[in-house]
Amino acid sequence: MKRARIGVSRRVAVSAMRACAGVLLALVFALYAFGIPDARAQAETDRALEQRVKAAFLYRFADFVVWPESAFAKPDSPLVIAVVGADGVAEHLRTLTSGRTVGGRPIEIRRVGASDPVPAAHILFISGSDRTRMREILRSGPRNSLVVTEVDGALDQGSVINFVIAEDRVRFEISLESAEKRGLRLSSRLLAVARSVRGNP
Amino acid sequence: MLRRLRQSVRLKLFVLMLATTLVALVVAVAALVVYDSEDYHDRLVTDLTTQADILGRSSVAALAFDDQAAARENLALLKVRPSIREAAIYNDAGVLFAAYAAEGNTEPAVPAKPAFNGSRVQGDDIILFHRIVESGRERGTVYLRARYELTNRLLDYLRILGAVSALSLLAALLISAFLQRGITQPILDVTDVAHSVMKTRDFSRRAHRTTEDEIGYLVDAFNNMLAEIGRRSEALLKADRMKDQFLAMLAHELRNPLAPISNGLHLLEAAGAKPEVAVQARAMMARQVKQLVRLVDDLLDVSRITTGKLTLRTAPVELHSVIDNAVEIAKPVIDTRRHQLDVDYPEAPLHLQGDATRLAQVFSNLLNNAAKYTPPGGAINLTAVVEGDWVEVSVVDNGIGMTPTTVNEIFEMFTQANTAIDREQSGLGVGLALARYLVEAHGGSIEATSAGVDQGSRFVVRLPLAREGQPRPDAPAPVEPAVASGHRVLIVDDNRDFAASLAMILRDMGNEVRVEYDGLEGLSAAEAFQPTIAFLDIGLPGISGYELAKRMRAIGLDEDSILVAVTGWGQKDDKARSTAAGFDYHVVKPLDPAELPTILRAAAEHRARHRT
Repeated sequence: MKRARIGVSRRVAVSAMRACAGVLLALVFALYAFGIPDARAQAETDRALEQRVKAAFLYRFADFVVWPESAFAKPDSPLVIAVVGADGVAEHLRTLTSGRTVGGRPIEIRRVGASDPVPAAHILFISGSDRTRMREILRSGPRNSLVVTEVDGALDQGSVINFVIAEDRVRFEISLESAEKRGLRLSSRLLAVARSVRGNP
Repeated sequence: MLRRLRQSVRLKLFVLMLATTLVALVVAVAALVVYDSEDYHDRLVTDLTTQADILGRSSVAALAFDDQAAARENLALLKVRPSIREAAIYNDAGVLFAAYAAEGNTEPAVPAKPAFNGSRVQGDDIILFHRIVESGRERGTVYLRARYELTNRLLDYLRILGAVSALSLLAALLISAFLQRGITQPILDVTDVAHSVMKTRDFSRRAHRTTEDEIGYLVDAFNNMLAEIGRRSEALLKADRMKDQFLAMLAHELRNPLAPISNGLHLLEAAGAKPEVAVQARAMMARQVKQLVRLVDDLLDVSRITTGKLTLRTAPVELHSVIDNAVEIAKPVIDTRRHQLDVDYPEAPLHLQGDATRLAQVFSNLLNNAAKYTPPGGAINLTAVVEGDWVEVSVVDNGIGMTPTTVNEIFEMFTQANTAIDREQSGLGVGLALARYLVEAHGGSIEATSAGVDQGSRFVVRLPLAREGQPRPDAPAPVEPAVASGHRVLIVDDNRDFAASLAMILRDMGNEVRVEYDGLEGLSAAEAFQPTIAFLDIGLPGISGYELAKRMRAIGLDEDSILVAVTGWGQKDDKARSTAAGFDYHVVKPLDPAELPTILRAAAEHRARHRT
């Protein structure tokens, strides 16, 4: 019963992603080009879809990353995913991960406000394009965090995975250097689906 | 080919070997194919499952991050496996995510969603769906369609079978050529000898034995059989020669008395007023006829012996009278040749169990033999001595004697000493053979010895004496008054001379006689004449003697009437037949006139019994 329910919810997420991701950028472009109120409303919807896809990705990254032993207090300590400044994504994540585990660990989602201190999260998503805030978090942020950003050039700032939009789809790029610095080991299978990988593979 | 196969052991052996090899091969290949097709299937499924698993695991990330391009790249790696004709990856919701078709597969038929879990054979392909499960979660499904090359493998096996068969054919040829020496060649050798023996009739040929096995035994048996056949064919040839000689001699012997008889007839015709010439002629004719009858009797005895029909009328017998009878029979020959005969036997009577006539025949034959093979004026001794329970009768002469070879053969049928002194008295060469047969039939033995040529011969007959208490021969019954006359006699025979002469004799005896020459006339005569005795020939024109007898009884011939069958056939069956037909007596031709009074008296007694 449980599996079936999970299957349905996942199927919804994936089909939504598959159906909408392709047209996402075109719609965003159309929105700005024509400024039609309907289009703006549509763009709102697309923005939600994008957040949903990113939420799913954030959750799935956990399968392909190995954290050092020290990152967890106990064998059954939860895997913490912190979302900075994107309540929508956090919301989706919460829905997505409810009742699920990664490697036997429960998943904990934390919303972090714009001015809140950054918690010790295993996956840390810094949303938005505020580079200053991002740089600040990157510098002071927890040591073993898989930092995920969505700004061009974020990898240079120390981000490990950076979302990009390519061919109307949500893709990501990876910095192995940053991962190494943070004591994280990334699965080669993850590297294989990255749009680009920086540093020695 | 089939005909040749039936006729050639060599070919059979070859075919046998070939067939055995082929059957073994086919069975082996069949077993291999069955095993291999299962094994092939299992290996193929395992292989494809592994392949699918690797593909699935390497595509987990692509599925997770919706990267169809990466999944397609993974699938594209399958091009190093041309046997995999199409492949696909489905996501965890069962939706087609990425597909692949091998080069040349122009019509890929990738299913829209996974149909089942596991593998299935579909036509020439095998289809596999493999679920990707990682960290306890189902991530998607891999689909593979590969060529199922079982048919090709079977064809390969057939090709191998063909090649191996050709090789084994060659091997069979070589081995059969080798076996040829051990098995076929000895058989062929025997066959060759058999052929040559059949062709040349040379039974002295022998097959050469080369092996110690069953064939060797066969060769020995074959050689032994050849030897046996050789011996037998020699014996047959000898018997045949003897038969020819016998026939020639028989003709001669039968012809001899005929000339004097014929002369006698002329003398009788011409005698007329000279009664003394007629008396001489009749005496001579009587002698010659007697000789003829003796010859024919001998012949009949030979025939009875060879057909096993000779039977003894066993009764208590006294040896003295037997010897006296024998001497009486042989006396004329002995006297003619002026031999001195001494007979010596114990005074006390010697009782035997036997056939008096036949025993007399034995001794008369021995005496005749001694007389014939002793130059005129010789001495012949007949001596009887008792030896325990046996009586030993020896006939010794001082005649021409015998060589050891002759001694061995003297009791064989048709054997004669080459130099019979008096050809006219030589006989048929059956006398001693008969003697031996009769002695042995009495439980005795006969033996011939001779010191050599011109040293005389000695024949010893040993016969068992009757034990005390066994019946003694009765005193001769007083001769009954002859009632051989006064009968009404009907003679039916198509041999007019025989019928007429028999009628004459019977009339002379004082009987009323009527003669008919065929069956139907005989029947009507019987009705009218009402004979008391009828002599009927069996081989009659019109109806047979059997039939005639039946009908005569049927027309109500006087119940007391006696029917006598007169026939040339004297075997048991014939007698049984005539009895069944209603005959009272069965007489074998030639009918001896001396027997007539006996028959007539018997008829009279018969009638007398019936009347009372």
